[in-house]
Amino acid sequence: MQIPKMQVHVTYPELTPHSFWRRNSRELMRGIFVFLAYACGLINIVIGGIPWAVGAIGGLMVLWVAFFYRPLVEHTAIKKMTDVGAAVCLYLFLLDWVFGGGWSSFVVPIVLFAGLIIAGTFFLAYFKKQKRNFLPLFELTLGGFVAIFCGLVGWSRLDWPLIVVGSVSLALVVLTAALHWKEIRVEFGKKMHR
Amino acid sequence: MAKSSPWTQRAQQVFTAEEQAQITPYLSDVRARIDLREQRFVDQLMLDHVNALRWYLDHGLPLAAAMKRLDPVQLSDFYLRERTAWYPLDTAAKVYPLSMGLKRMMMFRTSFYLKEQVEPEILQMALTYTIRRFPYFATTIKCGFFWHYIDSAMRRFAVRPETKAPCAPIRLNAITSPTFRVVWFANRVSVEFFHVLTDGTGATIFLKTLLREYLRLLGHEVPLGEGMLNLADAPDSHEWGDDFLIADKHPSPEGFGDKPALQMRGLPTLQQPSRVLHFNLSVAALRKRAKEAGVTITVLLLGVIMLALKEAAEPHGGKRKLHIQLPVNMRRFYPSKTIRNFSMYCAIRLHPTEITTLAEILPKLAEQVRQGTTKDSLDRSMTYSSKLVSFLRFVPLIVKRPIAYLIYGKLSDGVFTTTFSNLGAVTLPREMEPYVDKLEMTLGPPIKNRALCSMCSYEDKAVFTVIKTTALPVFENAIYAQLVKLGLEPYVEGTS
Repeated sequence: MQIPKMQVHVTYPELTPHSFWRRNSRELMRGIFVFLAYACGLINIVIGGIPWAVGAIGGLMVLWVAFFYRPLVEHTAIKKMTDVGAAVCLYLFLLDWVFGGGWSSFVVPIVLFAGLIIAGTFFLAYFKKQKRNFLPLFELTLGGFVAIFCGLVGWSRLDWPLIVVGSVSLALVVLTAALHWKEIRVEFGKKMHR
Repeated sequence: MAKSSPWTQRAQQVFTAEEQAQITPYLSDVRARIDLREQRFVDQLMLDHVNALRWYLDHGLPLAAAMKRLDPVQLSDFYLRERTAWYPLDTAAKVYPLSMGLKRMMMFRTSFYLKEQVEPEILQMALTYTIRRFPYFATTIKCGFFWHYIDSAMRRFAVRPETKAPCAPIRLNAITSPTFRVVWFANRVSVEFFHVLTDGTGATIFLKTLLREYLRLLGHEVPLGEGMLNLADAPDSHEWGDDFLIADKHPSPEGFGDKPALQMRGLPTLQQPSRVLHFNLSVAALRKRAKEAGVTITVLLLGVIMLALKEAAEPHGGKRKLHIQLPVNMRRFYPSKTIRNFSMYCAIRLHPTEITTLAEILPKLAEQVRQGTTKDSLDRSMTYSSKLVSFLRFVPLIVKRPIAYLIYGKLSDGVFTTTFSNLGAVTLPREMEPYVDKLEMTLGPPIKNRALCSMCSYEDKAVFTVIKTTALPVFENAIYAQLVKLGLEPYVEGTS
């Protein structure tokens, strides 16, 4: 049986696709970052010496989180602040581990409580709008509690920055509960459902 | 009227002084019923009313009648007070946000074609009123500590002209990002859903309700038909129930773990989907052919797809089989009112060597469909998915998400070759016949599969849709050839 050629009647608008660069900007940027990371690692291996490439790769990751990473769900100001705060803290630990000096247990809590203060102030100041986005801040606060717990039981040095971290975390929880108990309880129920 | 707002400026531009005097109290009434946090949504909603009033005037309806048709009472307090309702994802939906990526999102669309061009101003108002009856759709997706969930979103839900490829991923990450979109082009109105929200049945209920409201605003009163919700009724909590939980528990649950299926040839294109084709068929002719073969329309089309798959499949597939995933509406077995996901899947498999002629494979396919769509068989997989969800419920999302993303990326839809989703015959009240031409359903582009198929029919028009991810035209040409051989004379529409 002779089958006629299929005739397609176009019923969709002509698409004007973005340029290749715009369409794939994120993939290209990711490619550049991955290339730089590999290049650092390779150069470091070839020329030897201290593993500075680990620090460079960590720096690239912090840059990525700060400027390019966009979560698919809840790309909010609080999420960005806490992500950047957490990434910087981890990076500082990494730098201390690579280059030595033992300063991270003092410096990281300072960065952590600064992050908590900034994100917490923003959250409380714009509570009505931000109340549904509190989870990242809650996770960072939990991190603060874990840190002070480690200090209190003697697993890490209990310096003043660590005490401030614990105090700020506690203050954030107490303030939120005192000012917005009813609303935050509902939001907490949503976030913690299983 | 405050001078600075865009809608007052627009009203001053498009109405005469006399008309402005008439509409001012009306617009004040509308404004009093809108109190959204973001001013742009308030302005847009007000502009929608101004534009719709202008449209009515331009089409010969007196202002008083137009204001009556756009009675602000219809807004109720939907845009006025904060909605705090939230909804855990249903069992089937839990995997979608875990496995999605920037360019990988389980979308699907249902569309209706009118016999006249779409009036966007009126369609916008129809959506503004319709969404009120679907509070579960007026939502956004959020992250919880263990699972994602759906949270009420206070915003305007917009109708837009179609400018993107069908089923393009939707941006979900803003504070009130919607999980569906309504687009129009020429005489077609499409609603594209992220699968997290609903399945084909729920989408059709929304589409039919929207269509009825649109026609009412155009002055065509249509009685409430089957599968439509009455906008005057209060939403019923059963409509957003997770009915996987009411399903019978099977004593020996079985999962979806399956061997990789034989895939079609062709490299995926950069732009997805590469092509969408709608084969317009006569329902009467289809039914006649199916009756002659002694099978249902679904089985007949499964046979057509199998023959096309054999032509389009990779050669040297070894023991791998061609596997069609056939969604089954669980509402057939349970008295469900839900508009959320409530479907399971049945597997139809044949090895290429078993695929000979249509007449020979149809009995085998009919038997597989019969066995796979029994309640017992579907309960078995449903119980398995419920158990899996229960097992994972204490694992934090931060751990689950990357693992699910990786696993889904590796396995994804590679365990089947294609999907054939048959929504069946959609019925509309007789009063709608003069205005509605046809309906269609399109599945979103798959990950590993090269094509997906879907079908729905209205009156004598069945639309069999193929969405492709590769430029290689073997599959659609083979489908076309098979349909022509059956004497079905398909009229093909689609993307260029």
